[in-house]
Amino acid sequence: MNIDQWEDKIISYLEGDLESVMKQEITEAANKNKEIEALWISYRSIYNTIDNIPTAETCDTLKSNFGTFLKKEIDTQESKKITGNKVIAIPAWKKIMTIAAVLVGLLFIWNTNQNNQDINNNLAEVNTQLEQILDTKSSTEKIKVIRVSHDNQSPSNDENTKQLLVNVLKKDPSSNVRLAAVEALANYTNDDKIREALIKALMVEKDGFVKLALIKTLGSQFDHDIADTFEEIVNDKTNEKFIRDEVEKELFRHNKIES
Amino acid sequence: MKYLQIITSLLFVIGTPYLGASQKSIKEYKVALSNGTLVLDDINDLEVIGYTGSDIIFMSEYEDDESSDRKKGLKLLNADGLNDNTGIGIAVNKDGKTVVASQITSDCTCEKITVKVPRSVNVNIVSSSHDGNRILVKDFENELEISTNYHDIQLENVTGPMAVKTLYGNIEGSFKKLSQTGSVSIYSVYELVDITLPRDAKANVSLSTPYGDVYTNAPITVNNVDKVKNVSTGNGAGGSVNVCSPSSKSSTINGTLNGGGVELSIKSSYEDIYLRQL
Repeated sequence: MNIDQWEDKIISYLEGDLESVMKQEITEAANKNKEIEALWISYRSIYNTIDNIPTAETCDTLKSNFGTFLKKEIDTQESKKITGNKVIAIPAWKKIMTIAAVLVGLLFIWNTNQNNQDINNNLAEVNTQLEQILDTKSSTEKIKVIRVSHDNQSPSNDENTKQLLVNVLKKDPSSNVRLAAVEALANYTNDDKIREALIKALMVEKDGFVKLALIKTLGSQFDHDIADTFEEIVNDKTNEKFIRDEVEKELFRHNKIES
Repeated sequence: MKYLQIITSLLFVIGTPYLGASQKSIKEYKVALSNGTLVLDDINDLEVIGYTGSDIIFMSEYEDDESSDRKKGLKLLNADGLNDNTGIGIAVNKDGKTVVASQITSDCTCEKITVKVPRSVNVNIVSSSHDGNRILVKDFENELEISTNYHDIQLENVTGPMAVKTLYGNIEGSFKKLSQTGSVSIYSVYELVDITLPRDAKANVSLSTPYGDVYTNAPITVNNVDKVKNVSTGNGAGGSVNVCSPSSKSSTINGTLNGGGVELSIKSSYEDIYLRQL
């Protein structure tokens, strides 16, 4: 048995964990072997010192405070443990409201899509009706359709509808119908394409009344292109006098000509 | 007795030049069309009368003059290649369901042309001539379209639908009935518009006069009035709609008459509008 094994036995002896036989064996070994004896004396001295350290008695208040603190600490820890693991209980009314909100949202999205679809369908229907009626020969029917579908209280902003009007202005043989188209297109003079179409129409239109309507309409949305066109008309002496007069009025109104 | 001889001689001397030339007669030209469109192109003095029949009848009072003998056997021809095939200074041509009548004489003092039109035929009157006198349309119930620069327009007992416009002429009309088909638009730029409607006429009314006033005794329910001071609904003598600003968008009165109906639009850019009710 080496010295380390004797050391473990000595500690066990001093801790009180050994039988008397083993205690006897350690005592005999220490008597015979000086190294084991030194080790025995050293450990016995340490244990005697530890045993002789006085034990401080705690007062009752301190014990009580510590107990309270300990209980609180345990409660806190237990509370934290519960919060950390608990499933949040949602009241039934909240669940119903949430489901209702989701349903309302879905209904709104569906309804919006449906409305858009309806609007698109209506526009398509209006355009189809317009196309059909604009193909007929009755000028007063065409005028009615143009007027009703392009009421300036609620003008349509659909590109196809605008294009239909531009086509009417370009192609319809009746000056009365072209005039109605100009009146309807007057709602869209802030659209560059429409302004351009109106300028082109002004340069080719033969009917004096329609020309005047075009001049008035373009005059309401004056820009450089329109100013150039107007000046061209004023300078072209082949144009009727009343046309040149009206254009001059518009130019004057926009301070293009000194009075 | 001596005095009687002198007077008889004087009458003979004064009257002799006119005896042979004052042969007035009415000339007629007929073309069959019971359903379709009649286009009347640049006819200076024109009267269109609706009637129950199946022929369009062109009529003019014709009077021989000193050049009548010289013209005998010849036909009037104009720069468009049109011939006077009617004997009354107009060319009439039929193409399918469309009949086009054009004045081909440059004589601005030519006689009035009266056209009797079957009630089922549409009429389209177009004129840009400076010699426009007056266009009268009466007793007409089908679609009427007029586009002219210088004519005055008179509408008597027409019903619509119609689209009527003139630049320098005034428009006067009296309707005993207002058709609910199509639309009715009556526009003049530089002259007044005076229209009388039957009491029961139903219409969506649009009255526009950027530089003029509107006088009416019709009970119009106004939808919106921009920049308008007052609307007369009395006997037409007192009140008016005064438009402060010459803006085509801001000077329009939109409303309904008898609950609304046909689209009725009346405009006069620089003069007044008179809308009366029988």
